[in-house]
Amino acid sequence: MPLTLDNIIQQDIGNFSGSSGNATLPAGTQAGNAVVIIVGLLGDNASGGFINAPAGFTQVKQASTFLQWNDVGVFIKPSASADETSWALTVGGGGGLQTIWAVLEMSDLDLDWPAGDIPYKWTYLSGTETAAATIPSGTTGVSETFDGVAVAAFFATSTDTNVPAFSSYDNGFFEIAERSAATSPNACAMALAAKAQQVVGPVSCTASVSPNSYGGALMLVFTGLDSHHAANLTAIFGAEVGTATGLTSAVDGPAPFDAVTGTPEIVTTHPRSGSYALKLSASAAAENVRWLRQDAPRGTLGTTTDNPVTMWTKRLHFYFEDLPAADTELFFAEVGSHANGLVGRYVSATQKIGVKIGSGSEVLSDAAIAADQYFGVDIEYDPRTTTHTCRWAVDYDATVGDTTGGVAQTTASTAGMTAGGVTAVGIGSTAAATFTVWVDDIGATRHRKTYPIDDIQVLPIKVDPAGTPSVSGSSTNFRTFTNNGTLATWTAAGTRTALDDIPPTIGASADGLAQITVALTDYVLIPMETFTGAPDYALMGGRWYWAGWASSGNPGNIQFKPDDGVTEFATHIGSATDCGFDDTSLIWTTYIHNPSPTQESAYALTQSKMNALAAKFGFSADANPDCGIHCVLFELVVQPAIVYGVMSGEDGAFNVYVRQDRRSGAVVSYLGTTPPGTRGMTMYGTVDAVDWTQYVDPNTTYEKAIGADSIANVTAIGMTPDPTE
Amino acid sequence: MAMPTVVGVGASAAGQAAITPAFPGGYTATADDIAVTFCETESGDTVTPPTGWAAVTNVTVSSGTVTRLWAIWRRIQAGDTAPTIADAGNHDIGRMIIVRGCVTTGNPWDVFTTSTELVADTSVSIPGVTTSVPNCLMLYAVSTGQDGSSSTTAYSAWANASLTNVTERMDNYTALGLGGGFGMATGEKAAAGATGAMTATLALTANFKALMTIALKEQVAAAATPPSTYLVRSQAVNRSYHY
Repeated sequence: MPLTLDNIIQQDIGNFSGSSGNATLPAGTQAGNAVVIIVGLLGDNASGGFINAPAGFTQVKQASTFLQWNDVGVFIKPSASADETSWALTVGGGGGLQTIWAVLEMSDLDLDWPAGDIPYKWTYLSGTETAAATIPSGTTGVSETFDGVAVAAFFATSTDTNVPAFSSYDNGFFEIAERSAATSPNACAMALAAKAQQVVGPVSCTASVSPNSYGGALMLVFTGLDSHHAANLTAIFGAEVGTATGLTSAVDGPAPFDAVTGTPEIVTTHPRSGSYALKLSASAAAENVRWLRQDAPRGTLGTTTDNPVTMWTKRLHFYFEDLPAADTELFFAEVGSHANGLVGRYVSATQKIGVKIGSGSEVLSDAAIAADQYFGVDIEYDPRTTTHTCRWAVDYDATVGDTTGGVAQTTASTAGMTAGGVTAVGIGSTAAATFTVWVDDIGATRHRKTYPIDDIQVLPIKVDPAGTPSVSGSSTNFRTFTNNGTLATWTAAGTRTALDDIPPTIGASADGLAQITVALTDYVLIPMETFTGAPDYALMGGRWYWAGWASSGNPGNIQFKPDDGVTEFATHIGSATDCGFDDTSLIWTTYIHNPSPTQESAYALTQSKMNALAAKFGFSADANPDCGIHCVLFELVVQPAIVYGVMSGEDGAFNVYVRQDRRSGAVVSYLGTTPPGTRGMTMYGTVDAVDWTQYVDPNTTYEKAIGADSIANVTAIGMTPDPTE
Repeated sequence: MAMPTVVGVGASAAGQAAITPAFPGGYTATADDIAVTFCETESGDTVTPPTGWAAVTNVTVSSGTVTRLWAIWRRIQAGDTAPTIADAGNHDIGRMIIVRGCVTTGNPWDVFTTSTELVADTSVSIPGVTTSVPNCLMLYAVSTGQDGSSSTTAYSAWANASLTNVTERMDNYTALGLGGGFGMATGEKAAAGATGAMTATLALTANFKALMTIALKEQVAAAATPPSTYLVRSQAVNRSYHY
């Protein structure tokens, strides 16, 4: 269940003077609910003060520099006992300080965040000590929840005994509590405002206060145990590079895979989506592909200076033409070593999937898998403590178009492990085995709270054949080339043609785009094909691939920056080192489409960003010899939208369904159905403040594509069946 | 030709189990009266109409403060008692209105509309419909998922310039479970046509809203039976015409 304003079970606000008092709720708490206390030590501009954490509470944040003499604190008790109603507060400080407190009882909060990771912002009108008419909360970092609750707290100390009053909360916030104290020499007040937080992004709110007052505000964004979060995929492979050549070849950036054992193939047989699949086949041998945490070249799991991968969530799809005759390792994750990690395998005796952590007991799936069809596996591996756990699910028929979902399996858990971050993940067998398996549509993430990723498809997006590449700077700094080095004057059409072959031709007949002159700010912008998600799909993320070229040895560099029409991502890939390209090898470099893929920066790929998707190549600091690329590819991850009933009439004769992004809740499309007979219905709604109406004939299913980027785009939907006869 | 009239509104019932919204106080089941019970539940919960009852419509808000608004109905028969509505899930709250003078066969409504207002504010505008017959009693309902702490003053300032006799009939919330409730007002639309939007003000905090509007149509008096001789003549004329 998502977190909504309904999860604020009760609240109260009050105040006291002196060194102690109680924060209270009108009714007893329900066991297990969280209690949040927000306290402001306000009034009296002549005395300093401080707030002590109440017994049993953890201090989330405290700001003691509020106008030098006041204090603000946020404290959380994660799990209250039944029927708690009062909590003692103690404060220090003299003069006429007033303690204004607010208490929220909240259910189903997810407090399993690293310290400080609750999106939080505290700001105060310090320094100038000028009384103001508005008080801003400041802007949080990016909140990645799609169904959280944002709570803003505002504090004010008047310049005299006139009581401050708050109003006009912006950005959709509304007041849920306010308290003032007519104290001398300075009156004071505190207010809480809240809203459902349904869009990934930063959060802020500003309130007006009258009369002008000294003040401050803070913002907290809570998320729920089962809240939906941005997908934030940080590892993707759909095999759409079309060749196994160069799978580990990158010099200055993640290769498609960081390591392989055996001879993996990229084949056109059994692609689940797109045109290609990864084929792993071995006879009494190990064969696998791996993503690593490494420095040179930088690994898909980041470098050793990046944030560690504290959890690993993945969706995989496997296909057997024939089930292996013996147990076969299919996937794994390591925390320092294979023994201190997770292994998933096919178990021949039962034809089931087994998951085992370390030397613990293997947990088998609840049913057998079948040959000649794709099955999907979702995992969430958590090695943060010495008891490693793995939530997992099996989608026994993951054929594209099949709507049956994954079946949750018994969580695997093993104690006595070594806690740490994930250092390697892989697909295939690390042990000698005889098997052939096709793998496709792989999506994974280091972000927590993304399980299960669920059904995904990885589709190839190539250079837009109808797009118009352009140069920023001087076009004379760039050339297209044919015959592996025959340069030609740069043209838009020539660029499109030169970059469109996937996989690229390497060697004597190779073509591509090159930068021939150092120009740190010049680049070629290359529009990519678009993909319209509505009415069937939601967009989840993507990964860039480009194959590099240099005209001779001792190569220079060429930098890559993706652009989504809103932001040019600063990848720094190719910026500082030789790219290692040459004119005889296929060397891939990749980049996850996220402003900061290894630092857990949330990113939501929207339709408008997809429409504007472009690659920028250039920015070269060393174009001697000429340095360039053969091709550029974007692997787009999409997810079938999920259908819910929104409204129905006359015992289900008339219906409106919504096809929705299962994470963001954004509306992909609406479907209206009418019964046989003579009565149709009118569907209507408001999208981006524009009204639309559509008549649906009798005995018809009509689908209205919406393609919303977020849940906020649609503000009304309705249906009116024809009058009865 | 007469406008359907409100006989009365029963007491609301709320629970986290089965509920029994009552008949209006003192009401004795009278054949052909129309009972409409509005219910509010969490978005994923379901109201199953009791035996002999049927669904008019339902509408779901599944984000923000989630809510689901239901309308179920029955053409009353003598001896009926207020039925029990099975446990819907997290919580359920329901209330019944009895209307007299509606059409005595088929669905008692001329037209209805169901919609959402996915804007968190303290005003509401419930879309109207276009009636195809005169003398419709209009029922405009709105629900939110707010924990209303048994509020009965959530709505005020019901207004619709296209109707006469706009009257609040229901205004009930519960704090049970995740809480929620609804309001409902009636108005009269004498001439067929657009009934206009009904607006109201919420005293509770801003919420997304589930909305519905139902036009209950009158029982049209039967035409006077023509003399049998006229009928025979008429049939003869028709027959001769076809020749």
